[in-house]
Amino acid sequence: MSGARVALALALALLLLPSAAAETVTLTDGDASVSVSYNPVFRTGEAWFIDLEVENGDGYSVEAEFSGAEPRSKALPVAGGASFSFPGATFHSEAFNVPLELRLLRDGNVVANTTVEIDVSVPPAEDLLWLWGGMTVFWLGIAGYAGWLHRRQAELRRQLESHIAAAPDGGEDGD
Amino acid sequence: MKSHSITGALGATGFVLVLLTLWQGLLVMPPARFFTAPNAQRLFYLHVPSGLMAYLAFMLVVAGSGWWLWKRTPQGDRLARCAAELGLVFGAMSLASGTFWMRAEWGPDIVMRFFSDMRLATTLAMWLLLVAYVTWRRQPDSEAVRRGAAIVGMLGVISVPLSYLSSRFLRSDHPVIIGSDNQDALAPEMRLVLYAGLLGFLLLFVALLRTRLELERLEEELLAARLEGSA
Repeated sequence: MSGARVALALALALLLLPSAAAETVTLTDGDASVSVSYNPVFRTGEAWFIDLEVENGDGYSVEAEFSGAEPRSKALPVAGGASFSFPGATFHSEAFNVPLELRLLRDGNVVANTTVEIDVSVPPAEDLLWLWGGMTVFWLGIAGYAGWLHRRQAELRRQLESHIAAAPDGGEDGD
Repeated sequence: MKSHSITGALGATGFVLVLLTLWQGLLVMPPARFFTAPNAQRLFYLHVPSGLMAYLAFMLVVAGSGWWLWKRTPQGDRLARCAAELGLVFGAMSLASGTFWMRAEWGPDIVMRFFSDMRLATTLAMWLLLVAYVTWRRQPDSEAVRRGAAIVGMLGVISVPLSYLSSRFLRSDHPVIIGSDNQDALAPEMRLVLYAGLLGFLLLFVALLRTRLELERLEEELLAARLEGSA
């Protein structure tokens, strides 16, 4: 397979890799409607955003709450977009199917609600990069030197043998 | 053939011990205390043994150089020449792994560290002496070249202890592990893994040195055969 084909196959594979596309749920109350978009994967250490798209939102607010964590809320505009976020320190360890309750409130009363589930991912620590960088340089160094010694030894043996074979007495040393 | 078997056995045992050390160091051992980059800290299972092997190599260079200067024995010169090359390799590995660890632990100001931290400065200076030795030996062999190399090699008498002791007595943030009074700095099981790694590296070092000396012998044999052929 040519290099171009390999590159094309790799590019296609990268494009087809599953990505964490935003998910959306809609909360409604009469004419009021709010589309709530969120990333189904919460990465610890990074702020996690909830985006809102509002229609007839005057007097409404949206509240989001992870079980056991302080809820966050946002007063809605009449129409248009808005967003709010959870801090990256909300979670510290990896977790799956963490419930998030979304509520639409009017005058402090819940008028619509739904529960979605997200996954919490812990990105690899930055110093892991340095660990593997150091390891790679290290092993390349020792493997390179051992490989050079081996090749040089084989080459010298070959030269010595060919020299002995080419000697006038054909390598017979009388031993 | 027996010599090859011994070298092979030493190398294989050393390699297995180093792999065991890596497995323990990377996957089993807990992170050491008092470090801000606990993952990169695991580099020390390679960094410490390779640094000690660089010291050992330079001490062999000193011994070989002294032997040659005193008795003019070719074996002394050969030992110094081969050990210098190994010191260059193990020193480079120690400096490289240390630099990666330092970048994770102390931040990006790497170049200035080599000037301001005495352990780093003296170790780099020691390694540069080995570079000078190996570079000098790339000239066509002669009595004068051997003498010059032996004099550079003897500088290890100052350079090795200076580098080794610098983190104890001079301005340095480099941690002291071997022979430290503070035995709490490293848990006993981590110390055991480190010593297993040291043994593995020592066996690898001996195997590589034997191979390098064999290479030197082959080169001399080939040269002698050629001279004999042209005579």
